[in-house]
Amino acid sequence: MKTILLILNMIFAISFTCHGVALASSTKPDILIPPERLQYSPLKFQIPRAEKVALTNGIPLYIAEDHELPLVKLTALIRTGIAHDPSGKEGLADLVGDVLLTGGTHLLSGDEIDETLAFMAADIDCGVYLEYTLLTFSVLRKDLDRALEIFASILRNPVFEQEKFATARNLNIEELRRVSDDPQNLAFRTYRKLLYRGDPRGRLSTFQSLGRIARTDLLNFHRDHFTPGNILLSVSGDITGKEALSLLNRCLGDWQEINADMKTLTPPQRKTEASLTLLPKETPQSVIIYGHLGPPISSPDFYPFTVLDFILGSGGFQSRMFQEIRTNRGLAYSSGSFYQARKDYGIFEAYVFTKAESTAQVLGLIKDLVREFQEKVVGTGELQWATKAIANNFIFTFKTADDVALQQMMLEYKGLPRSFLEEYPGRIAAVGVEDVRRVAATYLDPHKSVILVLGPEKDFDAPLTRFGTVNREDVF
Amino acid sequence: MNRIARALLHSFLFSAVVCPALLLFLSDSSCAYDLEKQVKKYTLENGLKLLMVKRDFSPTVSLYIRHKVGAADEQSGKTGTAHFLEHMLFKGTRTIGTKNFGREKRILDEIARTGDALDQESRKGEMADPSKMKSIQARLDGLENEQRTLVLSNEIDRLYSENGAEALNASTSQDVTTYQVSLPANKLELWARIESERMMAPVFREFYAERKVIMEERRQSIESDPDGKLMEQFLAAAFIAHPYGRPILGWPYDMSYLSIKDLDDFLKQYHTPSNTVIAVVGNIYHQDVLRLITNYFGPIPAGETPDSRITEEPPQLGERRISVSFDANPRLVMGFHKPTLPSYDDYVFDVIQALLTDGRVSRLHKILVEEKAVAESVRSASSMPGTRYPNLFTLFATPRHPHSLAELEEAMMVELERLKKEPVSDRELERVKNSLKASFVRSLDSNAELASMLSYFETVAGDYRYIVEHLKIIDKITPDDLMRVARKYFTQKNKTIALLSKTPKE
Repeated sequence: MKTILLILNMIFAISFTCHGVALASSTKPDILIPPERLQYSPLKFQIPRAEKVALTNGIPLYIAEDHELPLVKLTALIRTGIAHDPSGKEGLADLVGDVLLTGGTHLLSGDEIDETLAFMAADIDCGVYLEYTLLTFSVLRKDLDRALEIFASILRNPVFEQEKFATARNLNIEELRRVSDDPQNLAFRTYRKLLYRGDPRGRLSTFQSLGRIARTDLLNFHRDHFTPGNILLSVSGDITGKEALSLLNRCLGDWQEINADMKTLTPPQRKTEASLTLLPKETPQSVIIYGHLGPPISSPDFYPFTVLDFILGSGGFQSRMFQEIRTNRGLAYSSGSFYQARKDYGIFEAYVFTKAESTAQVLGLIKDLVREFQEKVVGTGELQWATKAIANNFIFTFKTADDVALQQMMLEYKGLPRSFLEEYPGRIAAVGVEDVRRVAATYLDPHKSVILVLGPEKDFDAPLTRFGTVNREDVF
Repeated sequence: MNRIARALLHSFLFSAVVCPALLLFLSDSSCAYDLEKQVKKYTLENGLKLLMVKRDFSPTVSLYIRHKVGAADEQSGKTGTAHFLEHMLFKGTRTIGTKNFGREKRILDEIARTGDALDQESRKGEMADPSKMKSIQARLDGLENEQRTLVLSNEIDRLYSENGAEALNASTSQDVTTYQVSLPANKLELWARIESERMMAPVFREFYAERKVIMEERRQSIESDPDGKLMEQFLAAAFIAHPYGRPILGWPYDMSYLSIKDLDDFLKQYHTPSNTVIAVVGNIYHQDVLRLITNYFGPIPAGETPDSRITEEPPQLGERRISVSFDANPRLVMGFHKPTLPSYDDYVFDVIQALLTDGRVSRLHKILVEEKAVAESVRSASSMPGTRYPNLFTLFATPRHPHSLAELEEAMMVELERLKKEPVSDRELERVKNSLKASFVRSLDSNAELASMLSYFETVAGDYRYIVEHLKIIDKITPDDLMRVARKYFTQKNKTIALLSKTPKE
């Protein structure tokens, strides 16, 4: 495969030629040119692409070069996450992530690795998410060879030293003991359980489940999930494609598949009825979360739903939730929504943190704002604002070489065609008002909503029962 | 992170939209990368300073405006002014956000008078006349409704977002107020157009609704957050005279009575060109940027150089120990008064900070979290809560059950005492210096971070080259320096400690 990188293949023509006298030297506002009438030179931009190669054992490797700074970044994506915790041992994947970094390998003890990496000022981190894990590494160019060896042995041959395992488990237990100290964190954690009820994604760690986990569980989990066929790699920075391939082949290329049976997760079941849950906590501010399962990233509905979410709550100050709840009524500092589209399903959540005394009022407002999408088409001006904003912001997907390599690795992980990014702005631009209403009707049926309110019930402005039957949830 | 990145990566930025009140800044240091060669610096005639770096990886540009003003500059009784003003600068200008400014202005003036009357009555507390308040409130509501028909709400954000802006935000610290955004490189003029006008002619629309928003912000980050509450109480105990002892968001009473005039006076006094630094980093041509900024910001009158008369914190005469009762698991904060930059000792504290808590190999992590297992977490910061004035070296820690706060404190003190007696090994010192150098290189990877760093140090240190000099000085620091500084500052007399628990012991 040709090792030509296209990342620098960007053409731009920008010049701030003076736009006449109108803008010049006047403090009088009536002489200022209205912002809408400013003229911009076109921004020519070609999507930078990462080079894709494969190690001799088939592990895909995405490479984006950038030689400005003497840094190399490396990321391994492992197709396994919290949702893969064995039943009864919730918290295992997280612990694997922790002890992977601290527990040593067949070459070096955990303490030796810490000391070596710290001395070369290498950053290593492991993020364990719901369905995948990211092991990331950033190192100065001069230390690359030695650092890569360590990175590869951590990925491939961790030993999860007993002592480091015990420390990590105790820390996770302490973290759980403290989980209710942060109301927002507690609410979003609990919400996961409600949204994915009956699905492995909805299982939370408990003192019991953490207590049941032993070092052998970590070794087994690693053996079953950290296999070449379950891994994707990306490299960026001060390294050539050829070099990256040869270095990684040397330390990972002969790693052979042992267990090729990948346990794939089926998408969570769509809800059949609405639920409203109260998590009582004595705190001056309630946390309200309202949500649904949404369309997957591979669906044509992904685009209109992205626009809907932008207009409803993720599009900043102009989004309806921000405008109505924060700006117009002063009922919250944080008010918005997000949509995460995964491979075969998506999640949509709207949230507001408001004083206990306006809890019911705000929940009513959220429900009204969501319902409005089903009852009325969005205005064309509002739609244009959203689609322009999303399309114009698209270039920020590629701020650094690392973004470029990572994005393309994520495309493969999500099973999307390489043309996905090229087509994205056009498909967003093509979203019409009817599309938005259609996806609202499909995915935001109020009779299937999942609602959580965390707060001090006695201070609420009205009982939550006005919104339906209330279930009660405890922290533990 | 933008939309696609969010769609493809996990990410969960739920409160990132607006205005973090606290800006914790890590001092970074330099390396082989020749920063001085990359930075072009200009000062306009009105005193505004401009720093530019051209970087072409992506056709985008990151923009930071920093005013050298923060919560520390507020008058007593008006705490929270700087932060509230920062919120209000998103409400538009005379030409942005209005359908008819002439008509709107008359209503706005009436709203200010009516709101003042309402506050005046309300401040009488129990003596306030409820029926009078009700009628003024009704009048205020009416005026606000009338004004609403003339307002294009959140228009600044609409202009930015529609043009593809990324990371539009602002923040207020004790020292500095910051307005930041990244844009497609061809949209630079939009930024200049909006920012130059909001610097000199903002309009405070939707004032009283926003005053409720900042109260919600306080509820979110202090009243319902044990870390936020503990920090507030700790700083109030550590500083008895200097304004660093007051919360950035303000004390609730002050916040609830801030007026349009308070904000306007503060703006006129401090958001002046000579008190402002702009950093522009990205795919730019220096001359074009300079011309654009001269055109838009040049006409802003220089104004007077602000003169905050900020008192000096008198020497501490003995340990200060407070307890905070809060429905959460125990935690503590301790701090020691110290000088700020460019004092040599301030650099030594940067090394001590990294040595004590940066990474798993750091002393406090290794000993308190792993070996003695008395702590769940330990962090430190070398300049709390700001860097314009003498500040605090601060340590935060949470005990691990069943260990008590007392055991945790004792274990921490053992390590601070050790710093006074045992010289740090050459290897350990070198490791810390390596990590300070590398973190600087990493920060250069992002246009926004570079713009942030340049503008920050130009503002608080008076010269961005502080970043470059920083490492040179760090490199000279010896084991003896660490012992000397530890002995001088980590004393019982200079210590403030705040302990949070459900049932505080007297």
